Amino acid sequence: MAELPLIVFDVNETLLDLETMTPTFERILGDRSAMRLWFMQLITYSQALTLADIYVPFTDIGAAILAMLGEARGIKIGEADRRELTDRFATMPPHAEVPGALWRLKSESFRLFTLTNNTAAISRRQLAHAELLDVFEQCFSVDESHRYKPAPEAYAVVTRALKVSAAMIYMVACHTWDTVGAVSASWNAAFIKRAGNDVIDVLPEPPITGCDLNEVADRLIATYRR
Amino acid sequence: MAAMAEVVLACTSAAAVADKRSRDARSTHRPTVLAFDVTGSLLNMGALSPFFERLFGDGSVVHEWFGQTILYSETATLTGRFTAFSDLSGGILRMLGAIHRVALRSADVDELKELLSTLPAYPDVPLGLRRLKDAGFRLVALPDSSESVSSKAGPLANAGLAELFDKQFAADSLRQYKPSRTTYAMVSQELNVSAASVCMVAAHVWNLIGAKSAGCLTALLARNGVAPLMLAGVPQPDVIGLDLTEVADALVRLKAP
Repeated sequence: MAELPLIVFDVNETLLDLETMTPTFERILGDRSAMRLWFMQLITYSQALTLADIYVPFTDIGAAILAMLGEARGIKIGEADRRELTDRFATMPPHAEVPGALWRLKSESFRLFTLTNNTAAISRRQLAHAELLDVFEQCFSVDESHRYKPAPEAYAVVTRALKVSAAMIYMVACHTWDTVGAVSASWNAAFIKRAGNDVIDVLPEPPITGCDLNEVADRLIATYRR
Repeated sequence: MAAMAEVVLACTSAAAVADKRSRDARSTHRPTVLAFDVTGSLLNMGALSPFFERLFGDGSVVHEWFGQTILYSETATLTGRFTAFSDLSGGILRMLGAIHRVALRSADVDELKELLSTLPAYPDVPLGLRRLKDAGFRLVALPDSSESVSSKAGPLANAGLAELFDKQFAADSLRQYKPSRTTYAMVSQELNVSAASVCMVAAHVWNLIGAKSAGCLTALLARNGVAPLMLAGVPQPDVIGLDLTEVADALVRLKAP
């Protein structure tokens, strides 16, 4: 039997349901579609700040993006709005198939980890609320390198800590920027096609894709356990 | 009426920041070179809305397309996976086709590329640029893509603006994209001036964050509800105006206080 790769999961939207943020945007900005715009800008600015060698915690950037979108619409964002945004983000439920698929992988002896753009504190709150903390051996955050994914340093922290060759690590994510970052760090990658996301054909495509985590887990188990 | 109220509100807080920043900047540096972003800053991407309306039944998908293209240009830079800008923007269009379940033909990608090279200038731009040039600034262009500048049929030439620029740079000549700091440093190095005498002018805050990290001054064109990113640890623009008329006023004041 082939040696099992270590599996590292992205958290926001990959494991947890980002769509549950939508009512917050509907209430504050009066626009359901602003949620996707907000998340896209959040990722854009996390990468821009990394290119500029500036590090600010992820949820702080998220609150500032909300204020920016509010100002564009003439809506003032108050402290209660920021708190609601962060609280919602820290308590997103998992996608329906996620707990079962993760425990299935674990029962097949895969070692499971996370690597998130959130701080360790927010990440712990998220995974505890989603009742997923126990399935992971260790949870990593970009807070350690102060470089947001997909900067190579974010993945290198994990490679060093896991003490395996980079090729023995799989990144599982629903964002192409994350799988491109992982592949560029010499990891393997699997892509989940969550609603609102897809691969980009001019960038390195991940060897495994699936419509949800069950499909990706099936492929990993078929490849390494059968 | 609602739209007007939005603009006024955006203006009030933007102007407060601009006033303070203009004072700060005046006390330290005066720019001699103005480096302009092109797409969305000088040229109006609104002209792309009918294309997205026809394909996706929703003209506002243009914002998703442009936003994702910028996001992935950053990803390409951060991961060392340089991909030509037109390939990237075409790939993003096909990704959005898959997400929105719209069948795209290769002719659609070609049409987008053609539309991008023939965007019209915002109405305030020709006069604003001429005024800055007459005030003695050296004007240069710094778009992401060399396709925006190199050819005689490039977007600036097509918009009738090319002759106003001393030089047209492009970030992709370094196989990187803005806001990588080396792309801004290229301008000051090639013109043999200090970074602090270059002011980057753009309608995108991320662009100015990169320019600041390279030591440049920055001016935000707060067009169409663009607002600063108020975040501790993130430097603010030195100048903010709702269009190039306002930004030119502030820059001319900076040059000759």
